[in-house]
Amino acid sequence: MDNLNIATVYTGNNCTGEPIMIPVMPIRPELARAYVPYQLYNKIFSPQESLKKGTVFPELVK
Amino acid sequence: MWFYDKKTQYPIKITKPDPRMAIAILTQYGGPNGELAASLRYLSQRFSMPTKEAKATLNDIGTEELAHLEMIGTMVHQLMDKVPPKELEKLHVDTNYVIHGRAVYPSDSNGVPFTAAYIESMEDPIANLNEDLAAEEKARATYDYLINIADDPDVIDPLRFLREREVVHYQRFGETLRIVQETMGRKKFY
Repeated sequence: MDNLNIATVYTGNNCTGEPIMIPVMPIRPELARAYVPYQLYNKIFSPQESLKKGTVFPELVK
Repeated sequence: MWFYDKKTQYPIKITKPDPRMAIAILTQYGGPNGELAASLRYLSQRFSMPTKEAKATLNDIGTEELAHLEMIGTMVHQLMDKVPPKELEKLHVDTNYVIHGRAVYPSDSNGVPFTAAYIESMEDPIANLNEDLAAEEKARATYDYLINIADDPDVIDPLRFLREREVVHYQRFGETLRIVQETMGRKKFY
């Protein structure tokens, strides 16, 4: 389901006014840079479960 | 501008006073890795962020940290409330009592007052976001330590909630860093 090659479409860049694509992980990462995988939207918890867990995203429960 | 909701972000109802735990938790109120420092850091850094997503993320998380500050203050208050002074002395929290009574004061657990020296706000967004990622991990580690020494579920549950929020915020700052890296004219790879 969550393929690391899937790119996230991200719109609203106010530097260029154009949408940009952000892959889950950079395809060619640069040295001396920090990267966190970009989250994809998957299943979410119910509101009650989310309050108990502290997040709606099961993959972020750590 | 802000709107206020007259409730805590996560319910807090502690029935068993524990002044020593109150003083331990106090560091998340006004300590170096506490919620006040987090809130002021993000709300100050937001002004120089280069994209509107980065501004919005810092504004939203900075706001949520204020809700966490309120949760921590509520916990400290409930853990200290109405405990007799002699009892506080027996539990070795009398030095705190003689300075502040049973009030909630923004200091760390050792009584060191809050200072803006705990935070940085620079024009460089990459520097700011790397600090923010570190700040979330330091707060997460502090909550781990607090959970290690706590034994009342009424205390542990809100601490677990706050700990999980640090994990989520780390992810959001990581994504913000990705956005800022991409939009600041660094080499594109798509």
